[in-house]
Amino acid sequence: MNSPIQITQEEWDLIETYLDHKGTGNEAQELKQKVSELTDSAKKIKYVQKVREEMEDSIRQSKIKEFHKHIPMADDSKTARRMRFKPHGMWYAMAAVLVLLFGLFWMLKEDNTSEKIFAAHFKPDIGLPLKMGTNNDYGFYEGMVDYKQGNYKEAIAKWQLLLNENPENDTLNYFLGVTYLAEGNSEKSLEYLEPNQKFTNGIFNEEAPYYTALAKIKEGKLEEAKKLLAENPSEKNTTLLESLPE
Amino acid sequence: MGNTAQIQEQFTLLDAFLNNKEAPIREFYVAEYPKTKHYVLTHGGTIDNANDVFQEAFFSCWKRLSTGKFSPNTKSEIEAYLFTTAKNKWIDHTRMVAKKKTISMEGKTNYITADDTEEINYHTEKEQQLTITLAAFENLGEACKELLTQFYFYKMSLRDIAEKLTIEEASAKNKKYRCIQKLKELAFHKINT
Repeated sequence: MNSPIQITQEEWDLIETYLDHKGTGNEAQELKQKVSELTDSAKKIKYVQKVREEMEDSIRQSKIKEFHKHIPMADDSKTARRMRFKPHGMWYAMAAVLVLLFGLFWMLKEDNTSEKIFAAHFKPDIGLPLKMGTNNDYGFYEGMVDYKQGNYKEAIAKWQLLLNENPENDTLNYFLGVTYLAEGNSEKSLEYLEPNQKFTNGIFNEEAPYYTALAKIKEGKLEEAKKLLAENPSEKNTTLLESLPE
Repeated sequence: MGNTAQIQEQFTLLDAFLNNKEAPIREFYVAEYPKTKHYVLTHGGTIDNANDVFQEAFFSCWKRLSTGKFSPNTKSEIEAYLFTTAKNKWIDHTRMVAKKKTISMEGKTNYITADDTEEINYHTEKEQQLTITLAAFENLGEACKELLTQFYFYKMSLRDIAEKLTIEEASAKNKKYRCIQKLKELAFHKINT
């Protein structure tokens, strides 16, 4: 992008159509002919390709920055920064840190364990298949598109509106609970996932206790999670139960 | 996990990288980050260093996968590629810091071979260019960012974008062109200031 080339909108659109055209027939030949008639066509095609590639790259980089916000706090703790000690005072500092660590160890042990177990087991539910072209439940599937794209806030907003009209709906309660958990908000997640009785006779009767237990684990309520998992045995629930400390 | 489930998982991940499907890529990012963090922290780096090398490696991995320059047969190959890239980036970084120190102490560049210099210059130039484009993109208005992301990243058609924005397809096309012009101006301005 060092030396911008002037390309009109018509030229830009024509070059993009040419670049994206997959066919080989007459249409492709006509496009090729039209593009080749442009002044400096080779230079312009190369430039459009470069701008498109750089745009896609910058969007990827922007997405990567967003992804990083989903790293659990325990994994991205600024407290893990490498410490640089000056020679003088190093022993005092070490002693102070040791005392502090000893005290904190017992306090944080449970939290660290909980966060690790949560991070190791939490994967957002894959969601429901999208039924395109049907008018029924349109709002719900629109939310599901957002959910599958990881746009959790948008999905929550859409589903919350539907839940207001139908507060007992198990599908909405389940996905709102899982979505809040995917956002890292276990407290809010539990508002939708509890009480578990609302899922007893539905299709989420195995999955709901699993995510409820994960939310409780994230909250540090290991005993409550154990009880719930023991009461709802399934392959996933038992594996999660076995990963919890005695 | 059974063999079928493993193949399905691998297919899902590859498909996600090839078609920019965000959720599986994000899950993979979150799952793979701790390994690099641990490596960097145990090899003299900080959390910020770990974040930087992991993000650079992830970008490189994503790009190679999406352009077909890297065609793994298993998910483990992607994991290994990502970790090795991050590890090499961290080793390069520590070597460059050590070289700079050596140069400043000895006043000469004996430790850098011609090939190394070329490679470093290439990376610096390439990364600088990307940073400038990313910076320009980040400075675009939300509406333009959204439109360009839908078209160039999610590969949505202009017709669908227009429908979503409740405008005519021709207006969406104009808007896209204006957003690209704006982005080019921002990039040009950034590179010349």
